[in-house]
Amino acid sequence: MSVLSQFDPPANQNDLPSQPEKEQLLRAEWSKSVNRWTEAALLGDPWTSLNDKDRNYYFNPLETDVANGTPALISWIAFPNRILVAFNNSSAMEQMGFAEGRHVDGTFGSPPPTADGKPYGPRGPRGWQDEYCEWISTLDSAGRITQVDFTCENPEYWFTLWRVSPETVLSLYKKLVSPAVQLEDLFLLDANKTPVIDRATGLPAYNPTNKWNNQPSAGATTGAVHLISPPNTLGAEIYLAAAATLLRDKPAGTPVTDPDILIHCSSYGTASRNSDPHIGATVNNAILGGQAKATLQNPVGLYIQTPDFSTYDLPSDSKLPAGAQPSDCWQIIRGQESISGFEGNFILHARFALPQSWIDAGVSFTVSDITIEGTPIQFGAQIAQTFQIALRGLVLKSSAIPPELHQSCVEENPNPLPAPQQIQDLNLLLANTTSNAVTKVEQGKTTENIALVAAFSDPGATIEFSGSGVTVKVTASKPISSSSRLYVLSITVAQDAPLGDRTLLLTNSNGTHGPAAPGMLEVVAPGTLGQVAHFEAEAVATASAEAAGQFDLSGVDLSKIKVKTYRY
Amino acid sequence: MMKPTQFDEQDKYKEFEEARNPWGNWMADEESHLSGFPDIYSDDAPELARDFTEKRTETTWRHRIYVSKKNKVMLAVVLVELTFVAALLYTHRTNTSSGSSSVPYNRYSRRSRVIPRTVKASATLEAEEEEPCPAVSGGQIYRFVSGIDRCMTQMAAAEIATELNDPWATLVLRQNAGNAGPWPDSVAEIVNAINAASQSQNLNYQQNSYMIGEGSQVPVSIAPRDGNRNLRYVIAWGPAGQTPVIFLSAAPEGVQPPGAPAPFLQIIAFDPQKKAFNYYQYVNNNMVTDAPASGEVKTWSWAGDSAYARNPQTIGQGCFGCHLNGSLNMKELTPPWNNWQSTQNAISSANIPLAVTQDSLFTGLQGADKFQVIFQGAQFNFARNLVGKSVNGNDVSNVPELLRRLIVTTTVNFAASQTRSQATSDVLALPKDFFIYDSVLSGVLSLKYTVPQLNLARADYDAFLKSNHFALVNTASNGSPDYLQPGDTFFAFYVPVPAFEDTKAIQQLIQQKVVSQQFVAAVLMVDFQNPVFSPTRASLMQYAERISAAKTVPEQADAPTQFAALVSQAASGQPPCDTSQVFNCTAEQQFLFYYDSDWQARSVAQINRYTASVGSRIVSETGVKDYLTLAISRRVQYANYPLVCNLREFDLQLPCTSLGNIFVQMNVDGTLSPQQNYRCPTFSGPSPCKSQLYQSFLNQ
Repeated sequence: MSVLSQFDPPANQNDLPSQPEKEQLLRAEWSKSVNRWTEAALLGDPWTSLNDKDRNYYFNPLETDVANGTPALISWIAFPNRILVAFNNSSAMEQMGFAEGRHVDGTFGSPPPTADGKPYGPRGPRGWQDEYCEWISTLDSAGRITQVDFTCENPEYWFTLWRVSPETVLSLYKKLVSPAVQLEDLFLLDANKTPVIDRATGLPAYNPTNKWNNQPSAGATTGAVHLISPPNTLGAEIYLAAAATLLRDKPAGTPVTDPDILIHCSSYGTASRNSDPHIGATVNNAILGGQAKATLQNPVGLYIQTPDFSTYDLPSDSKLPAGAQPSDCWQIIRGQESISGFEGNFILHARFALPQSWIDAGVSFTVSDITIEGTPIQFGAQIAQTFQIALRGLVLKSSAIPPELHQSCVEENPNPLPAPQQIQDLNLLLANTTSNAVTKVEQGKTTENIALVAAFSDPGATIEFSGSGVTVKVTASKPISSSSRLYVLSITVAQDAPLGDRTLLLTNSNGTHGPAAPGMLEVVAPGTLGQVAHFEAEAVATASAEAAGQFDLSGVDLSKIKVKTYRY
Repeated sequence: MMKPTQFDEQDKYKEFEEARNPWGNWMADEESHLSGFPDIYSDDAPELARDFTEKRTETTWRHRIYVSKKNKVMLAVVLVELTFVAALLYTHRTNTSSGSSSVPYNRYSRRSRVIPRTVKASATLEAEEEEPCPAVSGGQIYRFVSGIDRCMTQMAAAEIATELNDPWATLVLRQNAGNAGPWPDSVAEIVNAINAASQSQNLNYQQNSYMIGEGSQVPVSIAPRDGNRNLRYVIAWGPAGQTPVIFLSAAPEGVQPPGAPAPFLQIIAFDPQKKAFNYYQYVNNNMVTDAPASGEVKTWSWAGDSAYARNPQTIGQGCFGCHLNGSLNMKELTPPWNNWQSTQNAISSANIPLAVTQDSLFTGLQGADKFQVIFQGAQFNFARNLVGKSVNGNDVSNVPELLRRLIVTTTVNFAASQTRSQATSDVLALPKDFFIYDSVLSGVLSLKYTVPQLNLARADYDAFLKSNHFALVNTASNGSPDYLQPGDTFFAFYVPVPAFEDTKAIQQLIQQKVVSQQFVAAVLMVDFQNPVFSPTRASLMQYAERISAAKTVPEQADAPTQFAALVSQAASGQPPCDTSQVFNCTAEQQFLFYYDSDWQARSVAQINRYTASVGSRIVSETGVKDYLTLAISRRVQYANYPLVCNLREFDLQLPCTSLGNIFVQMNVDGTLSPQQNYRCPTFSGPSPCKSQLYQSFLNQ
């Protein structure tokens, strides 16, 4: 038996090499997170959908022997394909500008124009860069590109790192974007511009779309530290891969194999992307081949692949060092070029910029003078057309694996079951954090103001956590929308309650319920939480009393709560 | 026999000039003979072709027409007086694996179209052809350059040393010839041989496999898993991060019964010394020549290099029947890749033989999106080398051949909407290059004009398909079994568009100062609404052919200046035209109108007027019908345009329609008008559209 002992960080990245204790904590937290996403993905949506459960052909490598697995590199072009479809009538350079968020008319930051009468989505900073790759071009005062930063790092890792070591996050920002970054620049703020305290650390929560990791803005310095487009999450990738293991028929007897149709049929991802349809179809095809199960290969992650530089040309410059090549401008900032035994690259963050040695030698050109297919680089988007993003699947073949029965397409459940969607500290939820980190409670303590967002549940629904020693009291309840409801919970954990993850079972007052949702709560030892107190006193002092007090929901606009979902 | 590469040699150069522009010499006085063909795949094609050739040869010396014993039909016509040579060699093999009668389906009947060599008739030719070709010896390197060689000939050491310095030759063939090592005769053995050589020499070659199949999207409800889908692998090897240097095209071994020989093995490898591609096939004489031959043993045979693609003796022959400019071919270059495994399009395990799905090459397939980047890199560098070879300081040689890439449709790519033909949404984002050569006019020349939304209403699209009986038809001649799938290609609006390789060649012509942007605009704005297959624009080739040498721009002796002078001279004898309606003027007058310092404004004004008309028409039912009709016509033109028609290798690439052999062209007001019919001079064969299967479908 050769099961995986734990999930490793993407590219086996170690951001805490001189802090082994914290490193171990980070690795443990990370592995638990990937496991929770995997368990959630295995379950699917048995509450509000029909034909979206029993994902038995996806497997958790922490539980299934992976020794005989066959790896498969699944890759796609980093440039967002939907731009090409939606703005087919635009010129190539206009398309580049739409993808970059820096347009040919000289404007910055706005999303692509409306398409077919609708706002172009996904919304939010860099929302349109929806192929699990985002980038920012840095310009000099003359508007010439001096460097382009590409990232495929998932935001969840950075949330995890922040909870373990905010100082490390700060130092990485300084390295990746600017020495001018200050810690408070990275705080999540509430509507009153006050930092939102994360009970897990006792310190301000992390804001992934802070000003240093944002879309292009005229006259401002920003960077591409990690992914921030809403669909660009690792959890979404895992959910998608698991959903794609379900074989579909439409009509009965006719397998659904078309990538875009499969996406609609299985209700995952977004059609017309390079990534989602392709990932899903590739996984589905592996299962369709028979006697196979699939998972994502450790270290689970998204990885930039080295560009094809064959169409790149350097301008002539007498000061260029002998033998200089365009590929010299490709610098791996985070991740690894390769890992022994694996196909492809494990690059997390790459930069295209003139090497310092060229600058020191006195060359007089910039990135904008380098050409691709004979055209000067006017946008980082042109570079994004020359490389791929990849993930790695792992397929287990065995004659012992029975054939999977095909299902019809996913449908709305006409009799939906009460569905737990998200549990989070209320202050974080109201501040619309995009973190999906697990909610932790300590043994021997009552924790107030835990928010549960649920669908198709009623005001009298009962909430139970699995195992012994955890009791729940609903202190408030209010509808968010016609189908969603917010419950504010007071959770009491006995001193002898077992440590570890708990599932949540939601039962309506009429007794209907679906399966318990996994990974909703983690019981931790006393004194675990609120201990990352190593900021200056001023930062800690910003902690709001709301973390301990009772919330009054009457004045809160709950409609603005964004429920995290993987179904982008 | 030595390779004739001296294009500037006087006698050969004349032949070359004639052969390079089949259109100009072929269409001009043959129009009346070429109209009225019933459809692009006529069963009557041999007779029609013969009729055509006889008419062409009334005043010429006629060679013989014969039918070989091996089910091959050859119509060979040699035209003297330096006219374009058109003839036909149709090789139809019911089974390309010689002697493998146990193979249940003929899955790889690839059309072979060959234009015979352009050589003067020799009194000894017939006698020579009586001599049988000797059997080849396995494990030795042979050459057979179609159009030059009559039989496969074992290559001498000196010739090998000169010609074969690509990695396929240096790592495998030259190392292992003469039983010095394995002599690969299957996909698996080739894979093993290259990877072993790479490893032993620490080359760290990366291997990637890709797959294409014109029937790859046909579901099992239409054809069984082992039914013909024209599946092929492309496997590429090269140093990490660089353009691959070896490309293998072969059928997956899983489509053949275990132990059956590979239907075909073709390799293209880049020779850094020649800066050209070498082409190889694993063949015997029976497979490549109609001369009498004996022996079934196959071996690796060199089929020529990039230079032969435009060599008058070998144009359109053998490998150069499809590799028309001497480079790689990837017809479907950009999304959505109608027939490739890609990010937009999966070749489903459910639709192909079980053995293929278990092949590691299949389970490890990479997408056409990756191959696109590789291919574009290779084409870009090929185009740069191609132009660079003809520019020496300020001197430009080989001018007609260079300008051909701008003036004539030398080859095409296929583009499509990313909307499935069988879907419910409107057909979105039709290829811009279908309507105008946007890749150059906007992409290279940076002209700023307005393009409307190029979408088709779904209801109108579906109605058009139904009323015109669209169906993909496979008959046993393409590979068993017969089947028919109603509807269009997998992605809607799959059409030929200007080729990337021509776009890059044009870009290089500008960057290496062979021509100016103004000149490129002036040429492409002639009949600009028909970006491919434009006889009007192609007629300008006659002026390029008169320019033997030039200077780089800007000089009085540069190619644009010489060209414009020749055109001006010709136009001076033409009736004057109203330039407010420049589209009604002659090709020469159109060129001169745009060859002006105000070329950008003039071009943009004309284009904007045209695109506005297209925009207003495409949202109407009539407009949708017209543009779908034009799309069918462009497919027909592709299937018939001299040389380009060689690219249509598989029936399943394009659907049959009841519109048949329709030829129309776009007008500047966005309407259509008839265009002169013509026909592929190098193809005949059983037409799937004439099959009982399709006829029954028509009668339903």
